[in-house]
This record gives sequence, structure tokens and C-alpha cells, in this order.
Amino acid sequence: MDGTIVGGWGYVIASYAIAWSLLGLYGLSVWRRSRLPPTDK
Amino acid sequence: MKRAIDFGLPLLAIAGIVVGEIMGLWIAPAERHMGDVYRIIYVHVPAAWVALLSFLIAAAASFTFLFKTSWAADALAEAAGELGVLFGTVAYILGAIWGKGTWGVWWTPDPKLTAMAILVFGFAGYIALRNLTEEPERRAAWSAVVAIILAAGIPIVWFAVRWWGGLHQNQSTRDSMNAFMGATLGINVLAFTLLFVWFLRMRYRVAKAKIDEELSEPPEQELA
Repeated sequence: MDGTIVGGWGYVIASYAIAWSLLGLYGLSVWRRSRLPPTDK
Repeated sequence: MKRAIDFGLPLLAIAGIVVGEIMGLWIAPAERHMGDVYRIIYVHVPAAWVALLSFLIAAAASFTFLFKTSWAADALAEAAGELGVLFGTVAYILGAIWGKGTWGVWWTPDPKLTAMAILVFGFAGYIALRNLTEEPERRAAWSAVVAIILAAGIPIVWFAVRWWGGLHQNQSTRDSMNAFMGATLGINVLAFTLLFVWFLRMRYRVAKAKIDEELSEPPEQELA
């Protein structure tokens, strides 16, 4: 906490990659599950 | 109408996110003190907002279940609780990366960060609790009580900086933010809210189908 800002674009790209990977995988998973027949246990 | 929402909602959400992210990553100017690392705000803040909205919906639906025994409300609570943990985790991870860049630490026992951690882990426990029992009435009642208790954390997270200060900044306002940055953040918040509603509709269908199936099963025969 010495007042120096680090990271820049590397941190931004890592953040966006993590966020959209998680949201994309979840979206795909729930979209697939919402189309399965209800009897599939 | 339902069909129009099924097609229109994902299209609107994806279009909003593409526009919002292009504005955030390429058009919005760098921040005076933080440089480009501040661009994490365009995902971190919308994800945190959606997480809190999600927890609020889970609590409201739980309340409805307890007073009306509505299975639709129970399914909505399950869907919203899970989505709150998803978006809360995204907000938390991005906040940690942003914190490392600007504060020099991944995490610190700041009031807002601590309260949000309790809320996200609490709702992760709520999901675990829902998987502990297969008996629908007991599962719904227990988890509804837990969700309502956890919801007390929502105003604590929202007002934590105002009440106790800390390293995390207070919510930005029109006066504290460049107009274009504010508009970009607004578009991303709107797009994330649409994405959330889309996910919530799909997850609700999964939860409701499961509950309907459980409720339609004949009671187990006692062995002679």
C-alpha cells in the first residue's frame, strides 16, 4: 500500500477473462439443463 | 409474448454487454490516478449490483414461500440464491485483482469486503443446505429461513463504507465520476441486469421442473 498503481492492461485482461469464462460456462450449463426433459434425474 | 422474451432477452443482454464492454475497454478514457486498471469497474460493479439484487430476490421469494407455501417462490429463491453466489464470486475475484493493482493487497479485513464475503459464503451454505434434504417441504422451509436471515447482510454491504469507512470506496455518483465513464458503467449495469434476468428465467425453469417432479411422485410405500 505504498501508493503505486500496478497491473494495467494485464490485470484488466485477466479480470475479463475470468469473469466471462465463469459466466459463459454457467450460462451454457443452465441453458443445457433448462432444455433437458424433467424426468432426467 | 413468452417466445418473444425467450428470444429477445438474450439478444438484448448480449448486445448490451458487447456495446458496454467495447465502450469500457476501448472508448472510455483511462482514469487519472489508476490508469487502465480501473476498467475492471465495468464488470466488478455490475456483477456486485446483480449479486445483491439476486440475494434480495432470494429473500423476498423465501418470505413469500413461508407465508403462501408457493412452490414457484421456492424455485425462484433457489435460482436467485445460486445466481447471487455466481455474480458475487465474479465481483469478489475482480475486486481482489483490482485491489492488488491499486491497494497492493488481494484482500484486507475492510468492513465492506468482510460483509460481502459473509454474504456470498452464507448463500453458498444456503445452496449446500438445499442439497442436504430431498424432502421438498423441509428443504424449502429451512432454506427460506436461512435466506431471510442472510438478507440482513444486504444493507450492511451497501452502507458499510458510509457507516464504518475502510479501504473500499463509497458508491460513485454523477458528481464523482466523468460523464462518459458514468454512462458506460450505466450501460454495463443494465446489460448485466438483463443477463441476470435471462439466467434467472432458465435457472427457475430447472428448479421448478425438479420441484414439480418431486411433488408428483407418489409417497413411498411402507414395507410390510
